[in-house]
Amino acid sequence: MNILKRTATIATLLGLSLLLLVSCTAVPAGPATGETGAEAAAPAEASGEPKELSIIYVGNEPKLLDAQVDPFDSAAIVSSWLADTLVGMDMDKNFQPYLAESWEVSEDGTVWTFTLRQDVTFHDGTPFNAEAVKFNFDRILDPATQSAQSAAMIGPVVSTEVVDEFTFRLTHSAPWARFLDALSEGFIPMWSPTAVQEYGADFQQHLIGSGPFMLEEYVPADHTTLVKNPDYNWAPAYMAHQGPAQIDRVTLRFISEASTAVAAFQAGEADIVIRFPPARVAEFRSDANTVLQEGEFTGSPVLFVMNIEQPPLDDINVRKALRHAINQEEIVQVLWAGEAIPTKGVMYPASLCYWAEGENAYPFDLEAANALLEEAGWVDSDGDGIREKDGQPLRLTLVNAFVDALGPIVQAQLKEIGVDAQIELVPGPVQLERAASGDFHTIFQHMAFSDPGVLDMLYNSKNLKPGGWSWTRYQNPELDAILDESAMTVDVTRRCELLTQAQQIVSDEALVLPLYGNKWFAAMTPAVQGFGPGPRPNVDIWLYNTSLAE
Amino acid sequence: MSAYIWSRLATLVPVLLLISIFVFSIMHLLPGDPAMLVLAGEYATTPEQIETLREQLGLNDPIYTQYGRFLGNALQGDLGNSVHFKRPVSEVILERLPSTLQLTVVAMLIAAALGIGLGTLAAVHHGSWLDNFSMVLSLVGVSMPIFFIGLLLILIFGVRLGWFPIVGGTPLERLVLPALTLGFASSSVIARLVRSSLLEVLRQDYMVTAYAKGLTSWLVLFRHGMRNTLIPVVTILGLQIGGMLSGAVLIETVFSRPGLGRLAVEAILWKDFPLAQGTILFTAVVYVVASLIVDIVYASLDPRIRY
Repeated sequence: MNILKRTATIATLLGLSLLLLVSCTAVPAGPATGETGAEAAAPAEASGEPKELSIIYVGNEPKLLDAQVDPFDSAAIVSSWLADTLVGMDMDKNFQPYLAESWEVSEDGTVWTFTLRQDVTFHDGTPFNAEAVKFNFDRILDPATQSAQSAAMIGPVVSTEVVDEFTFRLTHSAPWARFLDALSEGFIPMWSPTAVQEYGADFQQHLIGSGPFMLEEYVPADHTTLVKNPDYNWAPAYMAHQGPAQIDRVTLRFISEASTAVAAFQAGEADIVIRFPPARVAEFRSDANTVLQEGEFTGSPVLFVMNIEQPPLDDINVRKALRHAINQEEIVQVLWAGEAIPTKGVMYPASLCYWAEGENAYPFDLEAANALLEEAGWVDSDGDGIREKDGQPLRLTLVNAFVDALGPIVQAQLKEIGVDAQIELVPGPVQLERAASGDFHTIFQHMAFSDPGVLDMLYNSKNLKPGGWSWTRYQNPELDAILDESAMTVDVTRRCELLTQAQQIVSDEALVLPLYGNKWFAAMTPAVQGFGPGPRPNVDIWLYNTSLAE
Repeated sequence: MSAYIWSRLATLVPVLLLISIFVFSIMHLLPGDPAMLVLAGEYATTPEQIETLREQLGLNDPIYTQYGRFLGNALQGDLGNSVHFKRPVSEVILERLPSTLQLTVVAMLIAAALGIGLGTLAAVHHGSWLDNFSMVLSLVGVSMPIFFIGLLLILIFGVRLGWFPIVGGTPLERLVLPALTLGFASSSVIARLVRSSLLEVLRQDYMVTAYAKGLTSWLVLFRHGMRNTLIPVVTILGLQIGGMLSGAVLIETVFSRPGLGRLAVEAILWKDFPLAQGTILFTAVVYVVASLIVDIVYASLDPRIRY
């Protein structure tokens, strides 16, 4: 039996080592060859070597990179690297000339005339002109294109028209306030008409724009490679430099699992990792070999919408009491270790037309909250810590989704003023269903959105319908009129006046419980310079300014 | 034998029908209007967009008409069009299939080699430290969640040691860590089975007879021992195909591989119903057919098995 044992052991060990050998032959010599960060950074030191950058984006890859068709932010970002847009937006959120040198809008706000740059060519040599612009708008509007987002963004277009070679005109049936914002996002990229027609359904593999980068290779669900456009010479004036981009080749990977993305960055497989969760920020902050970049999103922050039709929230004093009881700073500390933006306003502080005074409307004040509840007739008569009125306890549903840990904190804060909040953690589809049916007291909502028109979506009672976003069920003709007008006011100053009034009403009526806004994070090696978010980090990431240190 | 194969094939029909009903119901069991779910929550939508999609998904027809159409089309290989890819679902699935096949085949080889190796080692050295070591190792494999093993391997071999690329490198290099993860998890069950099965075989009279005939230890172990040990192992290997396919869902997500498992996750996450239905149906059919093949192999390996 001894011989048997020995031979069996030898055989097994042999098998195991064979297995190990097989797996070891796949080991690359040293750091993996090709596109790893370590290698990409090294040759940059020797002049004349191509500068290569490897980027990991934490999130799902867009199904199509063409943002005229695909509805997701990540598609808009990739499209904005490959193609230019008619209008640009600088860091101060001013609209600036880009492919359009100038534009004017008719007195009634419906007819837009764009004067185009005359020195632009697409990657395939096709000249950029009014014909090309018209082609792109017509493509977006064509139902066959199945544009999921762009078509809705450009508004009620009735006609597109080539006035002369470099003048393009577009007419809306009614003024469309969001138009300039839409044109400045990667969702309305200008593609080469020749390429769209030539490749047809295969265009996704051959995206040809006029942008600073050209598509070299697109392997769906794996990676996308971009190379520098050597002829690029029409960057908007607010960019850090002019001429071609300073990076020769970019490899982009979308990785949905944040731990994997961060591990790959730490292993040197990428120079930059974009949009990783706040939980990982602390370890990067303390790492001397990593540079952290952050940006602020725009839109409607993380909040709980209050259903004003459900007692006791039909009483404005109860709603105001809840607002005073919420301690946003504490939530951000406990939940995100401080790596988020506490806000009492109904919009992200970085949003265009943001009303800053909203931050002071409801200071964290338990006494004020208690007084408001007493005034509303809610008292704790039986000493159980929960207030009652007419024998009914002050009980609310807290319908939470997506951020699991949020419920217990808000619940504990409301308990302080004698409110019994009952958490219901639901998946996304159920959240939508509950919101649509009004079966909630308070419900989670977060709408990071580039344009302040998000207020019209969320608080105009015309959106009180299935699929609509007016979850608070508040109906006020005055607010509706303001929002209706804001959606049709093309003048930015006037539009912001209106939207400020709207924020004031939403705040005064205590329709929502604002909590915090998310931050945008990217980590990179110290060699990477000039990389960062644009004015709206969800759709703007400026790769053009990026360079690798010598 | 052919009668057996035919009877097994016949039992496939109700199984596949049940699967198709289940897969079809996914879209309708979720609360709310499917078209609204696809569009809302991700970006601004208009009621017109929702109506167009309802039309496109055929949601305005009675439910039995919808199922009839779904089944009829599926039988002809038409799984509908993906909402987000805007291409036939079957095309997208076939694009992702090679990656999952590579992963599962290599993982299966690793599982078999590791499992049979460790199991044999443990049985032959029954009661020794080698036995304990193998069994502890397999206990770890059985009890640790597969995505956790994956993350551990990433941290050890990817970040600390830097031996294998995590997301970059050549396709072969990229295969090592995910295949090891998946293979290791599956090997544990196989190792335990091989051990107990071999222990039993080693006690059989025919083993003693084999020794008495003067055969070498090698011959006794491999010709008489392993042959009898491996019969139940074949069944387990077959069942592991199911485990591999579901493991692929997690592994492909953790390692960001462009396979079927990740496709299914994304389809569900993005509420792309035709794509989710297609991927799940396809995977289920693969599993059922694979189990059928294993049953047939099993029957031919062991002439005693007849149903």
